[in-house]
Amino acid sequence: MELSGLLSYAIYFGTMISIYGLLTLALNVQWGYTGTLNIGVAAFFAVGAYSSAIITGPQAGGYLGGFGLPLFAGFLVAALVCAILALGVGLLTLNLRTDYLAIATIGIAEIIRLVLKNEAWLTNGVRGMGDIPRPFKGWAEGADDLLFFIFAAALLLATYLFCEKIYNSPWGRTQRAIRENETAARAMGKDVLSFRLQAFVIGSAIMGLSGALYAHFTGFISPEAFDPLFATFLVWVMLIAGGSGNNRGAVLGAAVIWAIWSGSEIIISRLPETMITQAGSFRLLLVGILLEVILLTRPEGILPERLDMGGK
Amino acid sequence: MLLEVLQLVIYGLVLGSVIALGAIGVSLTFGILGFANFSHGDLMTFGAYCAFLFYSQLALPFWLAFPLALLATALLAIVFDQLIYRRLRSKDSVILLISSFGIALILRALIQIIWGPDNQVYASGIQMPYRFFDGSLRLKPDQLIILATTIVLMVALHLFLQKSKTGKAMRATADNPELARLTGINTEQVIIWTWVLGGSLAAAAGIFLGLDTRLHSGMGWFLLLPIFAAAILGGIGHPYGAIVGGLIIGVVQEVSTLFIEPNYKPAIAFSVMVAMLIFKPTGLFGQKKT
Amino acid sequence: MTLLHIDNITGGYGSVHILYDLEMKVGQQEIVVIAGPNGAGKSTAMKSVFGMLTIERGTVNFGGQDITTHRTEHIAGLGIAYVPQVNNVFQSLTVEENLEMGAYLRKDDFSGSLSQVFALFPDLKKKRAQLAGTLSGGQRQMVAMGRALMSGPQLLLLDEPTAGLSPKYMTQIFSIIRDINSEGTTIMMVEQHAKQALKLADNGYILVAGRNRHEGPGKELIEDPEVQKMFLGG
Repeated sequence: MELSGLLSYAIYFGTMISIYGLLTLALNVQWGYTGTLNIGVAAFFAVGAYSSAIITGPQAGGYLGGFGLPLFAGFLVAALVCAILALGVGLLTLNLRTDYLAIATIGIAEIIRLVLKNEAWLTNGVRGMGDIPRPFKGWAEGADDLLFFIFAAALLLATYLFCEKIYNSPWGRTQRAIRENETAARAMGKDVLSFRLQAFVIGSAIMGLSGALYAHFTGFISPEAFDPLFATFLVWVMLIAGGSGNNRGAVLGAAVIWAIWSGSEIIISRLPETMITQAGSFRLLLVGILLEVILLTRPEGILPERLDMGGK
Repeated sequence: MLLEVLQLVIYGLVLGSVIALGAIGVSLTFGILGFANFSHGDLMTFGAYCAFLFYSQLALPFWLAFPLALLATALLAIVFDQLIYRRLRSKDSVILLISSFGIALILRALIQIIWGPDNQVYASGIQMPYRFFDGSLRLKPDQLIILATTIVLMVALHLFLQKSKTGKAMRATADNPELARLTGINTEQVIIWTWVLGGSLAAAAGIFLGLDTRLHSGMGWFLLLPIFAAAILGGIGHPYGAIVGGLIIGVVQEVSTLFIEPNYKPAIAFSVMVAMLIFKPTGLFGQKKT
Repeated sequence: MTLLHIDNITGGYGSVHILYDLEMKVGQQEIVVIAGPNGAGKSTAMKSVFGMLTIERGTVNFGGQDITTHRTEHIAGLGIAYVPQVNNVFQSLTVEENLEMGAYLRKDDFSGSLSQVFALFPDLKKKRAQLAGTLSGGQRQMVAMGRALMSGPQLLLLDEPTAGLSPKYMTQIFSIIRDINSEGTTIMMVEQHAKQALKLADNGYILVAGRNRHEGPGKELIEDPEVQKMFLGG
């Protein structure tokens, strides 16, 4: 019992790291490669989750659904919808200064949040969507969680390999050239906007995949799950802690920060009864302080970018 | 119909006062320190809760609780600056932005820990609004206080910026930080004053928002978007522009409820901001650098 | 007597070097002109005085004091004023406020300097309440120079004061520079219009690719055949 409990926790832990690992890899493509500041990660994560849930879910009363398409289609549509959203947002905002772009992405996230809450015909509003198909159900008695974890880890690995490949490609080198010196890149005849847009769209599509993975993992989603705290802030801390620009750092950051985040839950569960309602706030405080400490002491992260690989 | 619009314009001016007071600080810190401060909304929340502490919990009179809350918030802003931002000043402004994002959450966590996660009000009970035109135009006494105090604060700000040497140096630094350094302006001192102004006006904005609605730990964060929109609309580094921008955003948001669902008010601020960024990124009052 | 000595400096922005073993001397009450082709490091040489770049080797000495590592804000207080080539006025401040900012570090009454500046630039007196951002290029240059003079500097650094100005304004600015100098202020300036500038100069330096190429009294440099061939279209 003890062992199987531990095992099932490890499986849960691994699956969550895979979900967050996808988000940090995606953010790394946007921020680490190109220097595009996206503070609206939660929006793309949510859009991915809802897209796949709607496409694959059963007919339920009152909101869009009943297409019952296979899982594969769900993931594809999640990535596609996010890519299209990113294309629209990007065309509108990617020419802006980095800090203006950050403000604009907050705006997008806010609007998406409002849509999720208010457009009940589409998302069932604050009540959320249940009965999202859980794949591998019944494939092997008692092992569906394990199978899901293997699937999630494989998706993470594939995404990691893809991100590494594009990082080391001429395309990736151009992205870094733009990040380091936009004016020079422009002078070399690079279409800066187009390159930025490509990175933004790719990153957002990966965020969509992560959202779909999350939806099918939990089987239930509601606007609360996509609070900027969990879906934006934590991802940023992960990437900065791990080392932005470095894909291995991104995944490592996801693992380390998720461990600290989950660990804090255990510590805080031992707080006296009177403080238990504030448990979430203590965890928020902890991660906030952690971010500041990293920024002040090791802003390049645990695994810094290997710039010698870059070349110019 | 006309009265209905007028009513919304009045509500818009009340909301616009709150946004404008917040936007002045954002605009000044953006201009002088060079980064978009994502913790400004939570500074507002902190100010609102400080007033709650002094007024509702310690039962001090409001005329005393109000300046105390402004002072406490200004001090907190300076502490964060000296503890964190000062050490990051030589870094890319984006690092400061991310750090301010972290401070926003630290602040919100502290507020939740100290004052609890539930909504609060300064004083319970329903205020009887003043009625005009047979009740088709209403204004709560609190809203009148908000408008009047905002005017007083803005006049004080105006005198400070126009008449005092520090105020002029602050405008100069916001306008052109590098030239300010060349001129020998003590920019570290200007930065401290920027936080004094930005922090205390943020507190006032938070208190007014709490007075008009209620207090909760996310109240400032959710106003961040219209505040940024106002600062950008007025031109970064232009405190007067921020005031005009704030009032415009406030009024446009309220009047827009005639045409769209009130839930989507923030989307209006966002659209105005994006349009501004695309067509005139220097803002209504900003000039291009030569 | 030497007021400013740029002593054999090598440096630039961060790790990128722009200046190599640069050597310059500015004597008390002189006018010194720095000329050279685009990208020679003329403006950078000037910024080195003002603590605005990373100096790897060498020192900058002002009035017998080593100021190589001093902060920009501090250098302004030592009696050096600097007028950058661009973005050199506070656009959203009035002309008068711009001038007041120039006197920011002064504790004494600066109304005397204000009337001196207005005497030098009568145009500015008429426009004292106007925002600097609304002025013409030539008038902005006057505001920028006026702001620098308000600190009562011993040494005035001018980075291309006549760039982009009409011939009328150019002549005016050059004659004002002579007036400022004759009242006792030492001047070091970068100029594209090398011929006119060198005529004013006690001494000139010609930089090429971040190094000293020629130096000497202004009139001699104008006569120098190689210099003529290089810049003066001769």
